[in-house]
Amino acid sequence: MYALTFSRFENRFLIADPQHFDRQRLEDGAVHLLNALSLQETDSGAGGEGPSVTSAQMWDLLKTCVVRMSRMDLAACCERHDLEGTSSSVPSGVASTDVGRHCVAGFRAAFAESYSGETSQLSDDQKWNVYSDERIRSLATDQ
Amino acid sequence: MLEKEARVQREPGDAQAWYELGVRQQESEREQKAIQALSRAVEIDPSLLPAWMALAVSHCNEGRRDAACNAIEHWVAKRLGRKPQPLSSFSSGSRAASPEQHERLVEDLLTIVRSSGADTVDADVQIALAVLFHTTEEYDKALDCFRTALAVRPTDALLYNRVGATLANSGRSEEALGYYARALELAPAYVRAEFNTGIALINLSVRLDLLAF
Repeated sequence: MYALTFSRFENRFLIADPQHFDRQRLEDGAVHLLNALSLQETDSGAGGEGPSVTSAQMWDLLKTCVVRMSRMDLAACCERHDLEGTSSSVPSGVASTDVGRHCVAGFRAAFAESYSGETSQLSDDQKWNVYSDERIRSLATDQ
Repeated sequence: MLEKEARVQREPGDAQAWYELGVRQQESEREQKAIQALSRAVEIDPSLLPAWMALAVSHCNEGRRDAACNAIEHWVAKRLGRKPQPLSSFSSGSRAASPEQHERLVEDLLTIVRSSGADTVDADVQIALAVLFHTTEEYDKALDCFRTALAVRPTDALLYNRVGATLANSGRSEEALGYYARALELAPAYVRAEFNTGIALINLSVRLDLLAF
């Protein structure tokens, strides 16, 4: 039985090669995940609960997305579940409740750089070496 | 969320406050916390029908078919003005309700539908039916019921998300996107709908026409 209110993640995403993606949709999907993680963090407040199981899975999924966009720098932030670290453009003095918004902007800017080719990209082979098949398989097993 | 948590601390005997906290926890992807809050709500006030329904949804999300059916049984009993019937096999585990129990609950709900008259749609009954059909993995029937409920509750963000998730889980992510978008229009801070939109887009990002099987 599937969850009633939660979409299931299709494993075909994990087995597809980089050239098989519609990158615009991948970017949009990643931004929605980031929005959700930001909202969830904001909602918990400064002294809030730790991350939920779902958010941990979503961080993993977000990381998989950015790896497929050859953004290993952002993948490292996902690894740390680090919303603030995902955008180096967050100005000092920004209220903590606004950080998520700035991070979303940072992600969008990063994706845009990837599209325009301004950021050097890893080759597919390098990418798959960095983000090992074993890690991807473990994510699939978790579904 | 913080405001709702503060309210239950101030008024721990207020079932409505616990219910509202539970729904908020659901929206924010904290299902276990939601179940705790909603269970507290029905413990304080067993006649709080929306709390029973929300509890059924949370149990569904956690894969607890029997607990979901048990919550629906309480909801039906309250609606029919009878005592909840003992459902011995229902527990907090993950076993499914027996086909007979499931059938009886569906029949009870259809009795309420018939008593409402042909021209009246009772959204709550449709949602209860949808949850029951979901527990038996009859997703097409669940979808029909959710859509029927939506027709009379066109501003219910939770319902839009439920229709979207049911579509997405049936391999119809493209259709689901419109429902998630409407849910987010109605409730911009709806975390679950945001997650679902992201997952649907990521699923759709795989170019099946290029993918070699």
